[in-house]
Amino acid sequence: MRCIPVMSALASSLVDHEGNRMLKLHTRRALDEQALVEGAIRRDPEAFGELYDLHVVRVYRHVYYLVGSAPEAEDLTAQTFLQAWQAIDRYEARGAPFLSWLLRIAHNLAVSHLRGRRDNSQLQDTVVDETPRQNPEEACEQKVDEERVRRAILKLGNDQRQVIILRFVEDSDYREVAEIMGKSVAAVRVIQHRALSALRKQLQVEGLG
Amino acid sequence: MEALADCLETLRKGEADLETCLSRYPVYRAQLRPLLEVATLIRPLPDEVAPSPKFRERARQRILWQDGEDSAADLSLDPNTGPA
Repeated sequence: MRCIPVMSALASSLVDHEGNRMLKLHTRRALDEQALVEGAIRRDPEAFGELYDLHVVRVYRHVYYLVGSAPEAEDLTAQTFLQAWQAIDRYEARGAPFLSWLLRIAHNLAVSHLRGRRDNSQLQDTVVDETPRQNPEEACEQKVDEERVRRAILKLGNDQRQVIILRFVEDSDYREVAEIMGKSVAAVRVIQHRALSALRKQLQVEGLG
Repeated sequence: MEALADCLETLRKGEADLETCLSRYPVYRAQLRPLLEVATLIRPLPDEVAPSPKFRERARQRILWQDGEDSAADLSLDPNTGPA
């Protein structure tokens, strides 16, 4: 098993030599995440910091889609990692990647946050991918449609919502979704089927789909 | 269930269009079409959606410096309301 202090020394020397944080990140990604988790459980802040570097973007993107606001996504992302750091000694891998634990915390925090909003489906920043070929009217229509789809996704049950976001918004494959959710691939497919059916009904109510 | 999963994966990888996928499963065509059409309405997040470097560094420092002693409520990154 690798030793955290050796890993830290190696990565630190690379950073000192190159002054390049990205190199440190790439180096870390090749190392064993489990060793970092074990280090974090021993309250090694550098180990937890490396886990943060590895997963902060993924957690942020997941939360951002749910809340639709960059400032709120930042606060919830920070809270996710703080809760994880506070509870790291209670973390049990059970064969699932560390990211799955983080995303569960993030998802719960975001859903709780949305429940606290007066209008829990209101989108503050719009998540939209505008292509240069679009004229303003098309871009606006697409924005409205995407907002309706996002609202409909938010109205799904917890498992269905998570499968849809992981599969279609974050482009995860079945195996990764299954790992993150602690379910079998077969179960994920069943949930996906039901989620798309529910989403279709919801969108028909909204005038889409 | 398998047909839906297969079609979704094919569409995701861009290996075939909707009609080609449906033609592989003529028996399930009527059930598959509306589900696949709904799936195509869900847009992936643009790659540009990412936390700012400033936020990443600031949050990292605050999380690790708090060392689990303070509550998550104290972690506001808003400079007007957060800890000094």
